[in-house]
Amino acid sequence: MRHLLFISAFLGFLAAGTAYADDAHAEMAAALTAQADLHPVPITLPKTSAAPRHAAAPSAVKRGSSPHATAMPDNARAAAAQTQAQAQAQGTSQALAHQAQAAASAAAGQTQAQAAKDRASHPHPEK
Amino acid sequence: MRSLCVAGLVICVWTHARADDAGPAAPSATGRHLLTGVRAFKDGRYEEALVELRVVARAPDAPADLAFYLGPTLYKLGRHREALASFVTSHATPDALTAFYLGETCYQLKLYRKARAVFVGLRTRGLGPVLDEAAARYVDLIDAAYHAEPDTSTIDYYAGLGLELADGNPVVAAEYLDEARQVEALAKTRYRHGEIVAALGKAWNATGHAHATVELLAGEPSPTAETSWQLARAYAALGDGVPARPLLEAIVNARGANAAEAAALLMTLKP
Repeated sequence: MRHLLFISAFLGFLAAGTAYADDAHAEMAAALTAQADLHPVPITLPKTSAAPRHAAAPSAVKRGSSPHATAMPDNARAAAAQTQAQAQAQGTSQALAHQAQAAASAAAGQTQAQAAKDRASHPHPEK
Repeated sequence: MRSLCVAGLVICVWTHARADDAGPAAPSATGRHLLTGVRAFKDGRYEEALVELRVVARAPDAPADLAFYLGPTLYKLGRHREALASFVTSHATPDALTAFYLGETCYQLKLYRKARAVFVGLRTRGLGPVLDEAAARYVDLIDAAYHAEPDTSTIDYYAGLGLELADGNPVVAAEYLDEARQVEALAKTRYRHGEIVAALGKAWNATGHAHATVELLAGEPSPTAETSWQLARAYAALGDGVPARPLLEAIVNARGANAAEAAALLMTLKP
């Protein structure tokens, strides 16, 4: 019967070791369910000309920057890509492609300037 | 005798109660970091969660299903490529929630064919009603985007990203190249097929997926020099010298780009 005591104690300590993992798993499961992105945004298939290095992340944590500040450069990139794609699709000369690039750069500059203005006019409180 | 049994039971209950306290007297540092990370995730403090989970990842007693914690945390931080790598390199069989976040990650990375397969698989496997409806929404949106045949620029997009990432991040590169392969398969005419499957085979060989490479390339109707080389490498990695030898001999005899490597590999094969 002394064996029974040892077995009980052993099982008890084993339970103590695994209980933390069980707690963590159960809490994480609840958090994952609560924070899942249940409503995906509609998509269009990506094209070569508009290939961004990183996909936009609607669910990403806001890193202390305004929505405008993060959204504008993506818009600018999209505008640049669209202009370039149009130029390429029309079979225009290299000079026109350069023009498109210049226009795209200008668009990007404008949007960045606008973003800076927005930040200036809506300053975020210091952390 | 009876008192001994009672004493055993008391010890069992006491030790279990200690564990439930979840206080500073945690049995292991790893468990404590894991729980702290989970609670940070729960509160939306994803950066803190990541710091804790990185500590867990370095520990020798890290849980096998670390991707269950780490993948969603990276996803929430918008670090989708790292999240994907975490999910696909995990050796643990993913549970439904891990798979759901894998699907979401693929969706964010525009790996829509893979995302679709994940969500369809999840629905077949069985989810709760809320997640099942969400999975159906993902699938519907992907199907809507693919209602027309994908054009070559979409294939170029995936192939381009895959090739660009191949040297630095073969795990994620393989996912983009596999997406390119699947999108190309939906097109009516072949486009960059040999190039895509050869690059995919190379990425899978680089990440220890020789079986997948063999499955991909063994039935290739018109193999190129590169696909033959990757297939030979995969057979050699699996220790299957019978199909590897003639492929390697042909590469050596052709004196192409991989002849020297093929000759060296031939020497390593058992007779």
